[in-house]
Amino acid sequence: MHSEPSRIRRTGILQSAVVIAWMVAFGWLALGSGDDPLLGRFIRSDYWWLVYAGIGILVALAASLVVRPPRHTGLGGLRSLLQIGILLLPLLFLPLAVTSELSTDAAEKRSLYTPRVAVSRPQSSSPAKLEPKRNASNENAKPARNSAKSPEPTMLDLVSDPEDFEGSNVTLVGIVHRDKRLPANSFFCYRLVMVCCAADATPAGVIVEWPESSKLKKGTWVKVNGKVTFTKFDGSDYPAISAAKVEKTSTPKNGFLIPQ
Amino acid sequence: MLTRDPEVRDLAINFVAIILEAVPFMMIGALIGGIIEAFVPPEFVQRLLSGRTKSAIFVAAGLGVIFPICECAIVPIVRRLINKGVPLPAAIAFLLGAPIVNPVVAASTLLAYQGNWGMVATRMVCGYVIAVSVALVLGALFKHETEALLPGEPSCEHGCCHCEGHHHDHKPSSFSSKILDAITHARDDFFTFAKFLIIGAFVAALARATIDVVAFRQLFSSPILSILAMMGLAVTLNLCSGTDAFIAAGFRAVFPSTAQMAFMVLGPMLDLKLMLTYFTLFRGRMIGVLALLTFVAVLTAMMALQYGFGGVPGAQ
Repeated sequence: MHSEPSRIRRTGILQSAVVIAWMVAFGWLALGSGDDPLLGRFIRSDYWWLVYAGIGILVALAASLVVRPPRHTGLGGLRSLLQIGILLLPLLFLPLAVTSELSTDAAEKRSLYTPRVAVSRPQSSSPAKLEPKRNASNENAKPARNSAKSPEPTMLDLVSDPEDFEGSNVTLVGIVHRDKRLPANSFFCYRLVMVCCAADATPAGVIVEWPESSKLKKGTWVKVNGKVTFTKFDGSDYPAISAAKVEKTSTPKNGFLIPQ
Repeated sequence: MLTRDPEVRDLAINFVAIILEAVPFMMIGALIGGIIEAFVPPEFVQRLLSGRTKSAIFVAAGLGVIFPICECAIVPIVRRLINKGVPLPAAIAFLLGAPIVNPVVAASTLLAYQGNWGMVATRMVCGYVIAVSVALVLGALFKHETEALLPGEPSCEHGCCHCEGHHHDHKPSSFSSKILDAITHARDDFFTFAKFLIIGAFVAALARATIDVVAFRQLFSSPILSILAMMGLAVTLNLCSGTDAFIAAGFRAVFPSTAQMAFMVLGPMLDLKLMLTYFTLFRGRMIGVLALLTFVAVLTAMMALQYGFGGVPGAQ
């Protein structure tokens, strides 16, 4: 049996260990990542201050543990260890999280074919709807936007206002997704759009028409060059690229697109 | 040795992402709560809530604006207020309203919903109106406080939530000592409530990693089913009101705005953790009536928003 003072001391040690572990984890994500901020893999840069503030508070908590150690043991024994285990659980997932990127399965589960709503209405709180914005045969479509204004539109630009780029030559980088509903000469090319954090990232993309589509593996990062058009998919009109060239490319430092 | 299972990897990313937003916010809220605990004299609150019962209800439901306390710390404070003579209905209004109608919760909701003031305003208004309504009804149902309250003195005269680590001698203390008190309170809150937040974040991340949005939408295709599902989730997840908006926002693509709002309004008023702490203060019948009234009020408000306004105003 442990005496009361030794149990209190043990509580202080366990609490200190938890606070220090969180400080190290937050510090690693915030500072130890050089020009490739690890925080950017999880939350958009507007919110990084939360983690910086968290580090500051953790430092204060650690200092308070030194100056004013716990006076009570709280729960003892196994329950105490279970609580500490829960508090450290996110840190155990951290190594796996920083070495991973969201899978194509995740994108599919997040409704792969609702790109335009997800991007053009980032503040929406309603479930995205699968509604075509225009008819592909619409003869009154707006002319292509002056390429000098946006020489290399991002996937976000294209998905937000595909009509503006109809007929333009564009080069985009995205992830390959194969879908049985698409013809053999097509694949879906998408990026994940981070509104707030990786947990709410939603896919946004276009259909790419390319004769050698079947050679591309699902999940591969590709650079697509071609002309913007529209194509029928699942009964609706979708923005598409009639590709002249598709080549594999390396994974970007931050795979997410961030709407303003 | 890291797993190659994509679902586990997705879970890890979702989990860490939610934690990186929610845990710092909980710590900021805990620190603010600690500062209030250390610097604001409780007599000030008691003065505000004394007087006629009905007017006190309307004041109490909005007191979170100047006392931004999350629901994690509210029950011990309410217990102390009641023991100091604050009328029961006013204490109930404070209990239900303060964890929602407060600037910390407004800020976290604004952040989680990317500056969407419609979500913030609706949450504040719903929180206030429901807190006042439930308090008025309970005041009418329980004329004598002995019908509602457990007998006995509060276990902690200091009125604080955990009574760990800080001094109880109540002597006038220096500024630096008060700062240390505030940090110690924040530390206690971190160790008491972070585990609930982590469990909630894990469940939300798991749901995000495994649930097919389209299939889920079909399963809860009607708004009322969505609202009920999110209310059930709010009760079971035990999230802190300062951070629950980040979890609710994770369901943006899954459920309508009213279901997310139901989650954010009901959770701070009624979850399993709160119910357990209610047993330290109220009789069983009182808890049953309080839970039922709150549940019905939130459901009614969300249905009114869904079918009267087509969702949360400004959220579409």
